[in-house]
Amino acid sequence: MTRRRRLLHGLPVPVFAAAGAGAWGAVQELRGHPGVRLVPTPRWAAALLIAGAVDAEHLPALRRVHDQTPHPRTAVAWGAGADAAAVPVAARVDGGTDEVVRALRDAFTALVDDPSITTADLLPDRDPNEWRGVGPFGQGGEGMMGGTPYGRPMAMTGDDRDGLALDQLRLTVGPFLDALPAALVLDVVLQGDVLQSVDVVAPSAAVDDTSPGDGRTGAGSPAARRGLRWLSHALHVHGLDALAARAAILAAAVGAGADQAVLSGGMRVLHRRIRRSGVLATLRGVGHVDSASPLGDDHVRGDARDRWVRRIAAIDDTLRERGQHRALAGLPRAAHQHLPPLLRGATWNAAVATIVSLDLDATRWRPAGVA
Amino acid sequence: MLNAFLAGATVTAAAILATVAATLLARRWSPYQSTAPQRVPVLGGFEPETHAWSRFHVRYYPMTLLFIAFEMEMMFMYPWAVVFVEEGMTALVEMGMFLGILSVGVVYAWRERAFEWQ
Repeated sequence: MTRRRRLLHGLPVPVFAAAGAGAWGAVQELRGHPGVRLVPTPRWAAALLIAGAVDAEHLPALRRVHDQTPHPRTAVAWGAGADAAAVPVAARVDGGTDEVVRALRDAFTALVDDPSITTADLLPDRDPNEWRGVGPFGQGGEGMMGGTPYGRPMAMTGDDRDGLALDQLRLTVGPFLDALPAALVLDVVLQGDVLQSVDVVAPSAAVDDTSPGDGRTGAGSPAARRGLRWLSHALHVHGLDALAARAAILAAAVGAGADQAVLSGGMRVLHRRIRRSGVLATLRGVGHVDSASPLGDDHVRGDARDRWVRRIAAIDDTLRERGQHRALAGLPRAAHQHLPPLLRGATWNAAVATIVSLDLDATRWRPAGVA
Repeated sequence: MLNAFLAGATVTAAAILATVAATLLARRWSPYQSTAPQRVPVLGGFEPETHAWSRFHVRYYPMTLLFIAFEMEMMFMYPWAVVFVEEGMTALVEMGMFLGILSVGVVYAWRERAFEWQ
């Protein structure tokens, strides 16, 4: 075995996770695992993890994400229903986090030893329009706006909030965008980084507290585990990956039924580091929901910072078994329709911070005794 | 004098050569070329309909204009102050012309309401 291969075998596997219904939370716990590194884009990944059952309407998106993972690549399916995904996979796993990490590592090792086993492309290697050599300047057509350079037409202009007529970038984001909850698809119109309009095309998937494979909810409090999984993703989106790994490890420890004193001690350290990181200060004034808004439930009111503080306190309380699960309950599915007015006019990163702070994918889970 | 330029030109040529060589070698040795789906931005499963050559509002533009109008002015006034006594009237007229041209930018910024804090 060459030195290079030995080095590669020891690396954490760069994995992009495409999470379907019920698996998003379990995927977050992989952030705490030393054997894999969850990357935010398929471009950085060597392995694609298809977790949980992906809805039929999202299968074309899954194929595109598969093709956007650069060669050499491999894919692993996790959980029942994941095999309907119409993506060639190296392995299917029906187990917990350790089993899926083992499968990913095995697939990655095999890929390092023989890169020719890379999965084949599913989409045609073709630009959407013929453009090379077409038109007087090779822009794919005639006139200023007539061409399709790089196979795509130019953006059309529209009025922006400052009374200027500027180009509108129309994009459909999701359902496997790292920063958004699983299965949430948004149609957005951007001018610069300002969201001019937002439409919810598909709501986010419901989150189960089980792992896709083993179907166990774990020994500890499911509310605390849910909250910590949310916290792990939220910290990752805000660029605090070391803290995200810590939250993921705590979530896994809750699932394994770790000692309460250990858990609340770990949470105290995490809470202190979050405070010191300054992330809460950046969330001040972001995504403000007032009490008159239809979203203005007790645990949603205020800005993103208020929501984070409430949720972290609720995780803390739940770990100490003091009850108070209300703030961890998430939003009902109907909340999606109130999302566009909240996001319109915001910059893209403020919109993402708002969506993350709302915890939209808690659409099904309810703690006992809460309507 | 010429030697100084020669050194700079040598380094520039070496840099260009290294870049071109690295690009060509990477293209030759890499077993995989990126495919059409890999050449577009990752949106989580969809492709952009238009491409990203779009014009948008540079919101820091008035601030940049003011920076050039005021800071650059000060930058030139320090060396000017050193030679002012020596040069006398000539320096005063030259600086007057320079400030006159710069003040057009300030007037423009004023008209664009760059001085109004929102």
